[in-house]
Amino acid sequence: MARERTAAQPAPVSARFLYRGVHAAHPALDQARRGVVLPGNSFGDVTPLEHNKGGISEASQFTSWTYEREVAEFHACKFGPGGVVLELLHDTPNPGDLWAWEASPDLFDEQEVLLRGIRTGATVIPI
Amino acid sequence: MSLDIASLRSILVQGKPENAAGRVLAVLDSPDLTVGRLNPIRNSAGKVLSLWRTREKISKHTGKCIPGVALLNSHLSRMSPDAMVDQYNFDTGTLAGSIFIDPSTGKFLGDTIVERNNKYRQGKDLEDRVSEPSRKSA
Repeated sequence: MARERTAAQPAPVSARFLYRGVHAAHPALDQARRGVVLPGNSFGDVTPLEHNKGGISEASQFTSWTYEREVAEFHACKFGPGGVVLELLHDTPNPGDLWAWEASPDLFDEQEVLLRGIRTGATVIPI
Repeated sequence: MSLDIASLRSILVQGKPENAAGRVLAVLDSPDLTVGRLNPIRNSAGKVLSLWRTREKISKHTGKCIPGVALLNSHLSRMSPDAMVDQYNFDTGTLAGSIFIDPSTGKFLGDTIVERNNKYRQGKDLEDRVSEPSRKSA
């Protein structure tokens, strides 16, 4: 079940969190509102560089995350109100987990990190 | 519409002598040019504009210079949101990014080529080690 925190409640300072903006017209918005993270194509073979350059998210096994919550908020507000920001701890997967954090080339200095695979339990921050 | 480097170069030479075209020509003429997928990534103008308008706003927040993004967004904002746009990805030793073409007219719309950073180099080194030879071409 998704946890929810209001925009006014900051994250604890001791942990390093990653954020993902999901805009109001995003095809995976309903899942995002339940704290579920879905890539465009779990079986994609897109490289981190291709994903970072943009335009290929529907074919990608990655979703884009950032250490900068404000950057995520820009993406969440892309189509006006109704989007959400998802928050996950930058943790390490357990053996058998089908997800992993991967480095992004981050060409555009957005503090981007890529998540490969599906996650549940993200904290949902309404925007 | 799939284009080779010579065709892309021709489009840029025939276009207006904008700074963006000159910058992209320099990339295409670079001896260490690496092309992404030979077939372009095709998306609607509305979708491309929403991404790059957002990244333009973020660049003002972060201070990252994306020299071609304003011209790209200007061109995209004058297109029908449903019109198609082709994106070609390129890399050189110092630059990386994409150029955008209107496939219905062959017109150059703009680019998002930026200087590579250290994180790029680390990721590219890793990618070069694991990618298949067919994923790259000179």
